[in-house]
Amino acid sequence: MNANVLFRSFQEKFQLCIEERTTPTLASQIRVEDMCQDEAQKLGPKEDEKEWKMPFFDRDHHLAYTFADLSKCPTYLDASRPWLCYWSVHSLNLLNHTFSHDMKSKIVTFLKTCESPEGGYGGGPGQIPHLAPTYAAVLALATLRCEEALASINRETLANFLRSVHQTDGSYIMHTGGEVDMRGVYCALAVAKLTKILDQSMIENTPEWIISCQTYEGGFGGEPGTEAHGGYTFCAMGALTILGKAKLAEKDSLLKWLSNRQMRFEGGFCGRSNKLVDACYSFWQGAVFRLIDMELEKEEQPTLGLAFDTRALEEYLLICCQDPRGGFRDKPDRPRDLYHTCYGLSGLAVAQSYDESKQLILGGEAACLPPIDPVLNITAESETFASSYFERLLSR
Amino acid sequence: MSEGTEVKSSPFYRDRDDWADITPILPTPEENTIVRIDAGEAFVDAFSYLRAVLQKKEISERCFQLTNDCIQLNAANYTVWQYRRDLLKALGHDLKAELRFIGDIIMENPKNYQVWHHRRTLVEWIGNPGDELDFTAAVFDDEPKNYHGWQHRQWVVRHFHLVGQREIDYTTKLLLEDSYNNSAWNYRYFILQLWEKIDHKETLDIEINFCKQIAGKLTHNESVWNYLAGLLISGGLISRPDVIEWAEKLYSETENRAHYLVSFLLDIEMEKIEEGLDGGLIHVTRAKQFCKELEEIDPVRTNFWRYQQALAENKHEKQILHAQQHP
Ligand SMILES: [Zn+2]
Repeated sequence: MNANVLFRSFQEKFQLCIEERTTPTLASQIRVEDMCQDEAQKLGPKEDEKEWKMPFFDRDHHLAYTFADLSKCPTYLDASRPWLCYWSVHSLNLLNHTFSHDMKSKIVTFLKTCESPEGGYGGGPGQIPHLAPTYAAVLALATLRCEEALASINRETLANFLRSVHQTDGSYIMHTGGEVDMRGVYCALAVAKLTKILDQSMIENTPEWIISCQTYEGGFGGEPGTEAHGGYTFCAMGALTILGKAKLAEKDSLLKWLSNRQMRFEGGFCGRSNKLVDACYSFWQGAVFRLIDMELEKEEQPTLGLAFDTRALEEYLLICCQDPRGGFRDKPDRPRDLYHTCYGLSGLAVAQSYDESKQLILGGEAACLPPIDPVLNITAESETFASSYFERLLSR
Repeated sequence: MSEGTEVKSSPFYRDRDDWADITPILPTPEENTIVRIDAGEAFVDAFSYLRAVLQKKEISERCFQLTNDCIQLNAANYTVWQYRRDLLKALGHDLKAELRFIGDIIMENPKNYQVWHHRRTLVEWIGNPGDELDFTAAVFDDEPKNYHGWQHRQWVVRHFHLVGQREIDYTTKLLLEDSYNNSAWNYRYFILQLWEKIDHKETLDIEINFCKQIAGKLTHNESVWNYLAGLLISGGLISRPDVIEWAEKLYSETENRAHYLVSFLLDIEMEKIEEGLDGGLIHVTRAKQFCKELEEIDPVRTNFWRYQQALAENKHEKQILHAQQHP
């Protein structure tokens, strides 16, 4: 008996067949398929056993790993410390961890030291404000579901910072003197939307700029003309959804490109055509199906329903991406890290969101994660808390 | 030098006489409540001096040297790079030397946003494309799909109007090495668009032939199918009966059909339904057949193929309604 009987993924008939001669792309694809198959085979019966083991969601180890990594920061992430906070805090929230008052206040205290006098947040204390850590800091604070955290955000200077990096063509630079790309637009609009400071001056020409980045393949690139890419596609569609302009995207080609990103053998998603599967795209690509559905609903058109093979994605994440010591990895031969833990768990939450009864979740009840807001990527509960807090602030 | 008076060479700024006038800004307890930097003394030392001179906005040669050290310690600190650019300008440094410096750093950190942005800014200041095409080619020798590298090359070509046959030939070379390199396909498309040749019949003929050669042998190569469909975006797939005929022939001659090929034929049927060709119904039937086949050969996308099937019917109904209203 082999893995084919139990799983939707890892079917031998869907292994890559080489038609003529091999190329570097094909060689690495074959290598990855083999390592995924090896992971699946590990669940096979040992000597005196008969049954295959079902994949197990290692919640305790994930909690321990995520918690431990919140305390320290490797030097190469010295300019991404709010990101570490967000990846870790959001992961812990998905794992149903309850934050102690002491922990919340440590997080709020630290992030306040990253807030710039000019508004927005830097990658660490004393660093100039940058859209990516600004997004990470605001989302980490929103995740905590506590007023003290939300009250620590200076919305007035934040709005000034966002306006200062908005460009006349509608794009955003990441920081003063910094680069333009799709991350900027999304990060800016996401925090503006959440804290309810979004105004016309922040979105002048922005929908048009975003649309100019949709490529002939259907996905979006980071700048006009660049290759369709999962991360930028999420950012583009997230930003368009915030603007209520998702209708502007060419939906047929987007959906086709997106659907083709799910790997027929591995079950997970890749970021671009003919690239390798990677756990983080479980969220970046998976969430876009949700965003398309939201738009179809708005237009009163038939929705996608079960849009992709959620079971196959769950299999990839649970079988191939869990580090035995806790945390998630890109693929079996890569080391675990907080980034892939955060987006692996978020992708798992997206996949599970299609099963309302929660009866068919791989790994059973123990693997069950709370629903997330697919635009912001915080839990629905945290989103509701933050939204109503800022709502009350406005009506005061 | 007599004993006892030798100049002490210390790795730490805090021990250096030429930095004695600066009070370093060390991390406070609040700044270390969580995600504390897991770094050695040299890291903390250099960055605490950087913070101090940043705060007083000092412009000096020693600050420029300090950014060297900080970049070695963490090349992803955008604040250091931004400060370094301010210093470069104010001190009037040789930009070509800086270009060599950043070239080495990029080769060590090819997937870092800051280093590529630094390079782009330098090239923009210098005002000519220099060896940027060779430089990116060297990056692609190591990693032919490096996103930043392609983004940089696109910018160079657009900024300095370098579009032309040489760039097409470059992608041909890469695609002959690995026709699955989607970045090269995307770049080829970008060049044709920038060159305003994408709608020229002559160009289309050449490009379609190129695709046929590759797709005919490698039907499982998604990149070439996407590129081929991309070429025909403005005219529609049905504007090229020769392409349809070729794809149909490939379909009937292949046994182990790639889903990309069947999906391409499905898209053709979809267009025919939309245009109301042959009354539409025959194409709805064929589209549904393709969807069934796709469900079988490509089950991971079962839901997508079912959605396409419903879409085929939808498009047909819409087309009939439209035809009734606009006889
Ligand atoms: Zn990844």
